[in-house]
Formats: sequence, structure tokens, C-alpha cells
Amino acid sequence: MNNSQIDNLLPAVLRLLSTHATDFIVPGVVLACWEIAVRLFNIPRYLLPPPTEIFNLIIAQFPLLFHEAGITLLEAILGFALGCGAAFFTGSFFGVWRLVERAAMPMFVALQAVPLVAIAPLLIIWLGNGLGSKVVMAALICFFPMTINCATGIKNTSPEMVDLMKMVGATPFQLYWKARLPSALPAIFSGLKISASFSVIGAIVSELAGADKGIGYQILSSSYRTDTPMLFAAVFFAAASGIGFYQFVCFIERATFRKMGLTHRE
Amino acid sequence: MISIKDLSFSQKLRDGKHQCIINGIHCSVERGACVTIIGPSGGGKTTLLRILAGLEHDYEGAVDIDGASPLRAQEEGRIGFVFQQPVLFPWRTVRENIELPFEVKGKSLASNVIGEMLKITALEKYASYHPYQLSGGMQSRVAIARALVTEPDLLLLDEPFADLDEFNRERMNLELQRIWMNTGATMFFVTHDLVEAVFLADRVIVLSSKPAQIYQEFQVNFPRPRTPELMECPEFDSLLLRVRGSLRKATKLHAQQENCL
Repeated sequence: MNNSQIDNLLPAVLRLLSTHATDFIVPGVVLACWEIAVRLFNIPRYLLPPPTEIFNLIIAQFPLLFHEAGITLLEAILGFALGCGAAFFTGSFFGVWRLVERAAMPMFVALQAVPLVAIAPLLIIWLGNGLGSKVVMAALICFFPMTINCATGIKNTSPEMVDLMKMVGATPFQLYWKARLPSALPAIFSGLKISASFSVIGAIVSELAGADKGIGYQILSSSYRTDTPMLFAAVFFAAASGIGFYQFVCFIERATFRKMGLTHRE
Repeated sequence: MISIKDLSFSQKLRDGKHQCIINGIHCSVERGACVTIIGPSGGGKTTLLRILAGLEHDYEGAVDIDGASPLRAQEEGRIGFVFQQPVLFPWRTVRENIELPFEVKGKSLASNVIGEMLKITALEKYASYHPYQLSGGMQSRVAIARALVTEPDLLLLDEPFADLDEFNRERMNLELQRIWMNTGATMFFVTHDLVEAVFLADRVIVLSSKPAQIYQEFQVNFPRPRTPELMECPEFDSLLLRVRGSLRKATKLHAQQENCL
């Protein structure tokens, strides 16, 4: 490498660091304060372990935690697919037929107000300790926001576009497939993004109510043992799973809009 | 031949009362003519076009489009409609937008039909562009191309150039005249721009409003194809003045009616 290359490389690296540096300032300061406070005031580690210890534990227990997070993520993804799939149909019905929407929407709004996490124990009684209760919990928690987003998107197709489709002689299905559904995609994707985070929460809540594996089980069992560092490590993995799934849906969204020739509005 | 007999239309308001939008419009238009419609804003011009398009059904009176009802003519794909906004599908390219009417009908189309339409509207170079990459004038041309591609007998345009600046509107008027002369369709053109109305028309209809009635009609007999120079000649100006005066009186009438209520 000659000098001019180095001259070019250095500003590039600095620029990269400077653009992303701001992202790390706040977390960095918080972690540093946390570490210092724990050591300075001799806080017992079962109350609040220092970040370095949690970090070391994450490294040491990585295979176990990774495996458990994988189980939780599988439950979340299955529930997400089930809940969003069903919501896609109900949402489409609501969006296309005003009458159906007017008849069913009040019930949906009321049902959405029910704290679904409260029925997690009920699902354990009905469906047992295994995969089923987790998937159903995740599906339920995705279902309502996704239905409402999908219905709103389908309903809000521009009236001119609907008139235009009539003018060119479109059948009701063509109107839905070629005009309403593509117009609703931004709303549908925002529903999917909400559901992605929700589904992981749903799976973990259900695991807390009764499970023998998964990240929720790790959280619960480490709390019984007052193994606080392990609890923090498990929470870290739970958060990472949710963020990862959310980012994956964002990626699909961008790819879809790119493929459709739409510039994704930031 | 399009004939409209005693056409009335009223709209049901939220409070259950009926508001009369159109009250007794009576006119007939020979095939291939261009009729421009002006009138006070919010006065039922768009409603008239929507009735002709078969998009509003609850009218009284008779509307006949070359021997068929508007709905029938719409179903047979004989009507092209250009909305105030271009209403392009953003996920479709220019070519795909123009192809939409064929695609919906499940008709296979000779590729030269689209090619011809792209050529007429001077969009050949932009066939694979998406709407957001086009200027306002180009988007309007795509909308017109889509309305014309099925070779409709009747072309309805609802202030299609309202969002364009003076210069682009003049250009679009010339292009519209050229395209329309190529197709021989009957054209109803709603606008609030008087120069545009007189320049394009064989006949200018001035509507009074709420409820809309024909206030006055003007025959426009300038030879075609008309050029921008026409707008500078005194005959054009004097006709424009008469139309303007008529519209002002129609609007005043409208204001008086509103005061009475």
C-alpha cells in the first residue's frame, strides 16, 4: 500500500467512525456509569452485576443462550406467520366490505383492549407446556394490530384509483389484487413490523407462564436461582431476538419496495 | 352522437336532505366533437362527467352514448376517463400503466398498439420509467395514453392540466389536440382555464351551478389544427371576453342563489 492509498483510507475510516460514533456515545456512557457505580458502591452482584461480568457470561454461555433464543424465535416466527396470515384475510375482508368492518370492528377494538398476556396461563392449561401454547400466544398478539393495519391500508386506496379500475372494467378481484393490495403494502408492512416485535414478546410471556425451554424459561429459572447475571444475559438475548426479527422484516420491506420500483420513503 | 335529456342529479347529504347538483341539462353532441365545460367551482361539472362515465347511477333523465347507456358503454370499454390527478399506479412502469386496460380485460394486445400510443404521446424514451421519475406534464400524458389505448369513442377529461404551469398547459393543449385529431373520439373536457376552454373547443358550455344548468353555449369555429398564434388574434380575444363575461354572470347567479338559501 502506498502513501496516497493510506491518505485516502484514513479519512474514509474516520468518516465512518464519525458518522456512527454518535450511536455509541449514550450506551457507552450508560454502561461506564453502571460499571463504575457497581464497583464504587459495592452493590451486591445478585442485585446488579457489572456489565463486564454479564458480557463475560454471554461469551461463556453463548451456545446455550443461542440455542434457547433459537427456540423462542421459532415459536415467535410460527406465531407471527399464523397470526399475520389470518389477519391478512380478516383485514382484507374488513377493508373491502364496509358493512363487515362496521359490524366487526367494535368487537375487534374491544378485544384489542384485553391484555392478551393475561390469558397466557389459560393457554398453558388448554394447550400444555409445549410449542402449541407459545405459537398461539404469539399469533394472538400479532393478530389484532395486523388486522387493523391491513384493513386501513386496503380501505384507504385512493377513490380515483378505484374509479379508474371500474372504468377499465376490472372485476372485484382485479380491483383488490391490482389496486387495493399494492396500495396497502406500506400499511401492511408497518403492521408486519409491529407484529415482528410483538410475536417475540408473546412467545416469551407464554414461556414465563409455563415452559421447560426457551429464553423465557431461562429468565424465569435464573430468577429462581437469583442468578442475576444469567438473567441479564437472557434478557439481552431476548432483546436481540426481537430486534433481529424486526430488522429482518425491514429488510424484506425494502427488498419488496425495490423490486416493485418504489423508492422506499425513509 | 351523445344525447343528454333532462338530466338531473341530487345527492343525499349526511342529514338526510337531498341536495340538487344538476337540474335539467339538455344537450346533444355530434360524434368526434370537442366540448369544453366551464362553470363555477364546486358546481357539478365533475358530477356531469361521472354520470357520462357510468360512475354515478342515480340520475334522472336520459343519457345516451351512441345508442347505449353510460354503464353499458363503460362495460364495453368505450369510455376513456382522465382524472384531475394522473392516478398512475406507482409500482408500474409507464408501459405497464398504459397496458392496464388490456391486462384487466385479459385481452392479448399487439405490442405495436402500445408502441403507437407511446409514440403519439411522445413517451417512447420513458416506457420503462416509473411515475415518480416523470414530470407532471409527462404523468398527464401517460394518463391520457392509458385512457386512449382502448380506442374509446368518448374521452372524458376532468381538469387534467389543472396542476400544470401556464407554459406546460399550453404545450399539453397542443398535444391533446393532436392526439384527439388522430383518434376521432368525442371529447368532453372540464376546465377552469378559459383560454384552454376556448382553444380546444368546438363548443364551449358555460354551466351555472348548484344546481348546474346550461347557462350559455358558444360555437368555436376556428380551423384545425389550431396553433398558439391563434391565441394572439383579435377574434380569439373577443370570443374569450364573451365567454368570460358569461361565466361571470353564471357565477353571480350562483352567489345570489346561495344568498337566498
